[in-house]
Amino acid sequence: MHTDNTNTASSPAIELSDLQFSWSSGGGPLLDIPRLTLARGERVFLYGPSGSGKTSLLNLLAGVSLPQKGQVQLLGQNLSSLSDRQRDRFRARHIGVVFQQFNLIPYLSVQDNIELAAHFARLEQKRPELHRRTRELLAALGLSAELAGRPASQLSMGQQQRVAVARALITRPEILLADEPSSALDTDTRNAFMQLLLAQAEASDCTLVFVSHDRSLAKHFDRQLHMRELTPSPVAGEVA
Amino acid sequence: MLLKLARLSLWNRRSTALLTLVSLSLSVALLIGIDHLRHQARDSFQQTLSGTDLIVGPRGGQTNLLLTTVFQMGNPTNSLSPDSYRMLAEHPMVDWAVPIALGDTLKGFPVFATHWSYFEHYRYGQRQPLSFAEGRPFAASSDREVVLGAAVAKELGYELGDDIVIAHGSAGVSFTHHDDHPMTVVGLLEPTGTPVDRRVHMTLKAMEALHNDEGHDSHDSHSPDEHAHDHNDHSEHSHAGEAQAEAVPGNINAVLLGLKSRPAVFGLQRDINQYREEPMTALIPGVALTELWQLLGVAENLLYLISFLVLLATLAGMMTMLLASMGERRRELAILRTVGASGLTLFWLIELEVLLLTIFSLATGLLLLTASLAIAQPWLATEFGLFIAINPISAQTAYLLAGILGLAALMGLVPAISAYRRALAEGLNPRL
Repeated sequence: MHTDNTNTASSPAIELSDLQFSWSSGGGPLLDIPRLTLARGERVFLYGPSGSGKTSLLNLLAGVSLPQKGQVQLLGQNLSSLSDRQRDRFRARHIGVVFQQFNLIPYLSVQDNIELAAHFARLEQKRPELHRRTRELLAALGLSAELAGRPASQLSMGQQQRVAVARALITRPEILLADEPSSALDTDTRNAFMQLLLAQAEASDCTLVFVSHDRSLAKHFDRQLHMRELTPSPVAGEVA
Repeated sequence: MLLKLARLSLWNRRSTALLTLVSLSLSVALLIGIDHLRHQARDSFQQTLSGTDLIVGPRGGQTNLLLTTVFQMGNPTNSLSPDSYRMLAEHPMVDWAVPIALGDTLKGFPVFATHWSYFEHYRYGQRQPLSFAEGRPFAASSDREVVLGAAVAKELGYELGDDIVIAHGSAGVSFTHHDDHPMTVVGLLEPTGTPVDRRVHMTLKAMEALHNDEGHDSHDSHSPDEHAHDHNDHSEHSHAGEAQAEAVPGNINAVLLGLKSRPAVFGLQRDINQYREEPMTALIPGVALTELWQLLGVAENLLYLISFLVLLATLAGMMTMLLASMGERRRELAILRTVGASGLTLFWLIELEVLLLTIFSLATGLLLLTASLAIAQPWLATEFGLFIAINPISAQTAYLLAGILGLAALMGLVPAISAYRRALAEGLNPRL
C-alpha cells in the first residue's frame, strides 16, 4: 500500500507549510500557518480558547478536510495528493483521535468499539493477537477485563475516555490527536487520566497533539503552542 | 464487521425499526398474497370444467348461468322443462346430455341433482374424469343415495353408509328440514380442487322426492305408507323412461352437453338460443370462463396495483425513518469517520441496514402470508369455493421478492447518499 511506503523514519510526524484554511470560500482564512513541524515522539500542548480554529486544525491533521492552500504532510505523506479513500485509510492506520466525549458507539461493547478501529485499519486478520492487545491496553489503562463485554453506554465518563484512548492506540498509530479529552472529567479522574494518556502515548511512541483551553495541563508537555500563532493576526482577518 | 454494525445499530433503534418491519411485512404479505391469489384463482378457474361443449339453461345472462351451474353461486331463477331436455338429449348432434337441478343445500354445501351419466361425462382440469375415493355412483333409479364431494365429506365428517338430511334453500341453516327423507352416502369422490368437491350429488328423482315430502310435511298428517307409495311411483317412471332418452322427473335448471363433433358447437349454440318452444341460453364454457375471468381481471389488476402502491408507501416510510434517524446518528457516523470509515463505508452501512430490514420483512411477510393462508384456506373453500394452495412461493414469487429487495435498495439510496454527503461535509466532531 503506497500510504505505508512514504513514512520513512526520518520524516517529521507533522509538517504544515504555507497552510491556509477557511470554512466558507468567501470569508478570510481561519488558519494561516506559514510553517509548523512536529518531530516524531514529540508531545505538544496546543492551547486556545473555543472558536480559535482548534477543531478545524484537528480536521486538517486527521485528513478529514483539506486546506485551500498549502500542504499537510503527515509522516512524509502529503495528504492533498491522496484520494478521499486513501486519506480515510491513512487516518485509520496512522492516526488515533480522542475527543472530549462521545468517542464510543454506545450500543457496541467496549471490545467491539476498540476492534472497530482495528477493522478499518485492516488489522483484524490477527484476531487472537488483537484480543490480547485489547486486553493489555485495557489493563494498562486501569480498566478491568470484564468491562470489555459491556456496552459502552454503561460506562462512566472516565471509563469511556480511557476506552477511547485504547481505541485510539489499538492500531499503534504514529500520531495521537486529543481534543480536550479530559475536560469532561472531574479533577481527580482528570489527573489519573492524564497520567495514563501520557504513559501510553510514550509506550506507543506516539506523537501527541493535545488540544485544551486548560493551561494547567501544559506542564505535562515538551512543547506549547498557542492557537494565536497559527491564526492570522487580527489585522489580517477577523478572529473570534 | 459492517454487518454487525448494521445489525446492532438497528437493534439499538429497535422500536422504530420494529414498526418499519411490521408495516413492511404486512405490505409484503399483501402484495405476495394478492399475486398468489390471482394466479391460484386463474388456475382454479381454468380447471373448473372441461370436456363439456355447451351448457344450456333457461333464458338469462350467460354469467349467471355459468355461476349457478359450474360454481353453484347464486340461486337458479328459472327452470327448463322436461320437453326441452328431451329435445336436447335427442338432438342428432348431441353425444351426451347431463341434466342438472340445483337449489338445495346440505349444511351449506350445494345439492347437485343430476343423472348417473354425470360421473361418466364430467371432466375437469386436463380432461380428468371424476374418480371415487370410496364407494360407487348412486343408482340411476335410487332416490335415497348420495355421492359426496371430497370437501363435503371431509368437513362434515361423513363416511360411507351415513344417513344425512337435506335442507331446502341455499342458506346454511334452514328451518324446513326434510326430516322424513333421510339419505344414505354411497360414494365419496376424490378431491379435484374444483367446485365438484363441494357438491352433494343425488339423482333428480331424489330431489323431487325431497320436495314432495316437504309439501306433505307441512300438513303434518301423512302416514309412512303414503311416502312409500310416492317413491314407488317414481321408480316406475324412471324404469319406463330409461329405454329412450331418459326422461327427467321434473323441471331442471341446466343441461351439460357433449357434442359428437366439436366444430358444430357454434351452430348448435345459435340454434338453441333461437329455439321457439322455450326460451333458452346456451354457452360455451371455455369462452364464458375466459370472459368472466377478464371481467374479474380488471378488479384483480386494480387490487394488484393497490397492493403495489401500499408497498411503495411502506418503503417510503422506511426511507423517512432512516432519514429521520440520520440526525440522531450524526455522532455515531462521526465516530466511524474518526476511526477511518470512508463516506462510501457509511453509504454501504445504511444500504445494509435497508437490506437487512427488507430481508427480515420479506421473511416475516411470507411467514405471515403462509400462516394466514393456512387459516383462511378452509374458509375460502367453504364460503367462496376458492381452492388456494397454502404455499405461496413459486418461481414467480422469487422474482417478486427480488424486485421488492431491489426497490428497497433503490429507496435506501436516499438516506445512504445523505449519510455519505454528511460524512464528507461535516468534520470529525460535529457540534450538536
